[in-house]
Parts: sequence; structure tokens; C-alpha cells
Amino acid sequence: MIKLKNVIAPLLLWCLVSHSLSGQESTMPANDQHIQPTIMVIPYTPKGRSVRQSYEQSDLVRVAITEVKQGFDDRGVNTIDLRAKLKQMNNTALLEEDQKSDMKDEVVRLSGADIYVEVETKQNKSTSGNSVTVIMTAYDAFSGESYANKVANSQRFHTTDYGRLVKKTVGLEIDNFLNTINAKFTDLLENGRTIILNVGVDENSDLDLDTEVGSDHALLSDNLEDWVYENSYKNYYHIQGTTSNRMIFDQVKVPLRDERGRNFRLSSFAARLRNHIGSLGIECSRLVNGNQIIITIE
Amino acid sequence: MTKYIGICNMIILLSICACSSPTGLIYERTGEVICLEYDDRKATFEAVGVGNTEEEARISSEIKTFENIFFKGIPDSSQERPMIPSENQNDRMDDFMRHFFNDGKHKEFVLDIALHEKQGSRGGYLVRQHLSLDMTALRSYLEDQNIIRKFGL
Repeated sequence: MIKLKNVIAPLLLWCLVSHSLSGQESTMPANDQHIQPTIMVIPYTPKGRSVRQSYEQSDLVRVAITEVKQGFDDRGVNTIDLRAKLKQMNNTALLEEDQKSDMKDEVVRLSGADIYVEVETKQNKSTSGNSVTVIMTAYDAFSGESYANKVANSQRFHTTDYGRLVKKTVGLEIDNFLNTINAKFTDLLENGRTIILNVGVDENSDLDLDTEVGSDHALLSDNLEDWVYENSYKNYYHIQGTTSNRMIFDQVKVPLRDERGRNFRLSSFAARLRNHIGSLGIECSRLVNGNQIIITIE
Repeated sequence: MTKYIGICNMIILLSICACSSPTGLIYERTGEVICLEYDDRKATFEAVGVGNTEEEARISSEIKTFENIFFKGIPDSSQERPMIPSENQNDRMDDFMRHFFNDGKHKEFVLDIALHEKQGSRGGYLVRQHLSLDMTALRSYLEDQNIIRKFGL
């Protein structure tokens, strides 16, 4: 009888699992490469304050930042330490008071982080107990695109130990926050990264985007659109608008990595476009800034 | 006389019902899993399971808990999103899941299990179980088995 039970139990399990899985769709993720992004956790910095001030003047923010960093560490992701980075920047005299208005951008830019996470804390006091709110937002340092947001509220307790409340609150929500970021990564791998392409005409140029080019005498704007179609990731792009002297692609998808598996370089995309325009016998200049390419027809 | 015939018919009918083999219950994944509490490492879930026997019902609730974590996500928990994205579900996943449950691998991630409620008799059981799972270890295991992607690009 015991032996029979031993046979039946696995069979039963197999039947249950087969049945439950039989209706699921099947597609295969085709990504074996794995690159760890560099991440830095910084305090939310309102206008007029420097990152250093926001970091040093709030105990709660420091607790929250440490907890978020811990969350990344637990997932095997190393983070850039803000305090060490501030020290390093201080040594290179970048922390002048008159630079404080754009300090956050500077810190992010000089840190070399791919992603930065802003953390904001708020104390809520009431007669029924005290609580804290922690707001976490992850941004792509490259494009400024938001990856994940999480507003976490603690339960109310009759305590003034807000640090502990922050620690607990972040601990409860960090997994969901990281899961959302990772889902965004999956989407990026699947659909590519978004860049912006602006094509303009120099005011001294004799040409405009309605100039006929090539053997088929297509308009320059149409020719450029065809090129973007062929060179965007999965042929996905979106044009915000086209006039005779300006063309704005507000969304052009590019892959995360090139065909050799290296990080995709926006400058190489811009260079290829410039070469294409050059092959039409037209001179142009290009500027690459963040996730934006500006091409000027000369 | 007709009264006696009626009673006899009733007795025969009840006897047939009592002697017939139990009707098979079809397993289906439902969302009857809720999160009772969680922290940054473990989470406790309450799941309902049904089966022809109590053991089947308990197994059903265990499978249902893991499946909801894997493929659906559980509200108000540390795993609100599905742990395994839909694009990862394929034939290899089917094999993995069979081994995961058949070999009892899933039990390695159960920190505690307690029968909270049991209903039923011959023919069908319904149980409500509380399962505490080591979510961090479960995620790490799935990452090591290449079932889910590690954090990163």
C-alpha cells in the first residue's frame, strides 16, 4: 500500500503540473549576455539645493539610501557610493557653491552611472501614530527616462524612531521596485532604447529638406526617413513633425548592443547618418548630447 | 404501500451515491492565493487547494501558490509582478516545472507550512494552507537555472 502511494503521488503531481502549463504561450527569450548597469542612489534634490546638502542634512534620507543600496546589493548589483563620489568631486573642486543649481546633473554625469535612483522621505505625524512615506524613482541617466516609481507608506506606530520606520518601509517595497526596473530592462532588451533625432538646416544653407536628392529625385526629408526606417531597431521610429527646414524624430529605437555585443554607441549612429547624408553630396554637422542627435544640413 | 416504495427508492438511491467512486476533481490554477505578511526575504501566503483526498488538496494549494508567484504575481506582497515573465514560458519551462514539483524541489523553499482549514469528506476536499516561502532563495534558484534573468541589462 505504501509503495502504491509512492507511485501515485508523483503521477498526480505530474498530471496537475502538465494540466496547468498546457495552456501557456511559448516564446523564447534570446539573451544570453548579461551586463550589470552601474547604479547610484541619490537623495531627491529640490531646486536650489545641492545633492550634498540633501544628503547630509537628513538622517532619514541617509537611512533610505542605505536600504535601497542594500536592496541592489542583495540582487548582486554593485552601486556607486554617493558619499565617496561627493568626496572625489570635492577633491576636484567641483563642489563650488555657485554650481549648486545643477549639482544633481553634475553628480550623475560625473559618476558614470547608467541609472540613478532618487529617494525622498517624508515624516507623517498624527495623534493616531506616526508614519513615513518613501518615494523611490529610478531614471535612465542616458535619456532621463523614468524606469520605475514606488511610493511606500509605513503603517502608523506610536514611535518617533522614523529611521526604523524608513528601514522597514524600504525593506518591504524594494523587491517590487527592483522587479519593475528589471521588467523595464527586459523591455529595453526586447524593444531597444529611445533616442531623439533632430534634423535642421543651417540658416546660410542653400538647401532645405524639400531638396530633391539621389537618382530617384526623392525629397531629402523622405530620403532621411527611409534611412531612419532601415537603421532603427525593429524599424521603429516616430516623427513628431516635418517642415522644409526641420525634421524631428521624437522616437527612434536603437539596440542596446551592437552586432559585436558591445554597448551601442550613439555617436556611431550619428556618424553613419552623417556618412549617408555625405553620400548624397550634402555636407552636415552633427552634435550628440545624451540621447539626442542634432544634425544640421550645411 | 407507495410510501414504502418511495422510502426504498430513496435508500437505494442513497446507497448508489455512497458506493459510487469519487468524481474526479479537475485541477485548475486559480487566484486563490493571498499574501498574509512579507519582509525583504520571506513571505507568507494563504492558498486554497482542492482534491479528491486531503493530500491532493494540500499539494494543489502548494502548486497554486508557486504558480501564482511565478506567472501572475500576488497583490500586496513582495512579488506583485509575475516572477517569470510571459515571454519566458516555453517548452523548456514545462520541463523545468515538472521537475520542480515532481522532484519536490519546491519544498526546499518552503520555510513553514500549516494547515489552516479543512473541509470535505469522501469525494472532495478543500484545504486552506499557510505557506512561508524563502523568496530570495527562490529567485536566486530560478536565476541560476536560467529561468529568469538576473537583475541587469
